[in-house]
Amino acid sequence: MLVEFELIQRAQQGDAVAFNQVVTAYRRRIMGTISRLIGRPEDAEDVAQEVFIRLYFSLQNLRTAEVFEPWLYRLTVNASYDYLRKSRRRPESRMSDLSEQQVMMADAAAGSLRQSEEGEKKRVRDLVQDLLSAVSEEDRMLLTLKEVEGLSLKDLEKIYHVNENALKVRLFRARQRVLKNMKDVTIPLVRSAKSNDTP
Amino acid sequence: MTRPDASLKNGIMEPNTAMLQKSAQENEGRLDDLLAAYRMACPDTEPGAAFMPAIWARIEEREKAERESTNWFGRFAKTLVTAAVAASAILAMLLSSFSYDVPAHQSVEFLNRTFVEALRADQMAALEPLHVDRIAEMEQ
Repeated sequence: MLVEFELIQRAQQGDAVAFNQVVTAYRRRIMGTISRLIGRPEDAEDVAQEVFIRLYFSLQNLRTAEVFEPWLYRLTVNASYDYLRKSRRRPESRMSDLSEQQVMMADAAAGSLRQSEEGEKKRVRDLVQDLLSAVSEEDRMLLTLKEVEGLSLKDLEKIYHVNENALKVRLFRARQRVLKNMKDVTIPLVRSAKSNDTP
Repeated sequence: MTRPDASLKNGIMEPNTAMLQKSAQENEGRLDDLLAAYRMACPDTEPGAAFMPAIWARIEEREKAERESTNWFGRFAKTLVTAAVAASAILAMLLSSFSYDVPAHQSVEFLNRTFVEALRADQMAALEPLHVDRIAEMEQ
């Protein structure tokens, strides 16, 4: 735990300073998790604010310190679900919707980005997002929490309230569904992305 | 020269089980690599300076909206109760201003009688004893 339970108890009693401290302790981690869950770092801050607002209004329901972090993750997962559902309804601008000039500008921007390390990271992000957007939101969340966030099955049990065996089955199926869509993924891209992270 | 992980069938090279397993393992490994790379490509980021003020502003906004909806409901309930009381008073006044004759079969005395008493009163004429002079009258 990043904070003492006493601090959470003070926040429960309406202490604004204590609540600020709880948010400050967790905001970086929660924002990172959200940006990986939803795949849009630019919207992560907005979703993270929603998570902490939900935390503020439901803090009274928390009974024990042990469940605070799984509970915060649960709020994070739910807020990310809501965001993904909303963004599915929102029309996205695709290349086919853009004018010729806009496409040329986008190509030029992408070309210059590709030269840089950031460009490679963006390609990895886009690639994983494409793969994850092809499966259900449930599969996406579960895989991201387990394989990207590195949560253990015990942690996931507490978040999902599902036993370990059921989680293993769900994870296996989610992986299989993602693997089905991996035919077009090129290995050099992954290697280059990995080589960028290693000094 | 034959490859150990492939078999020739009808002149077409077909993958055997070992080859498929190897391919599946490779794909699993690629997926793990890709997800690890994704983790590196999306590092934890520090939110902007307006993060906390924005949270408090949104909390206050929701609390205000909640208060307003509670107030609106309270006002609505109050209006409804006042209207109900007024309607009851008007109805009571209207009922008391009307006076009408109560029919015999709805009178308090009638309603308080037992069934046997009511039946007896109704059948009294039929139960009266017959008189000889009346029979003579009827015969004429």
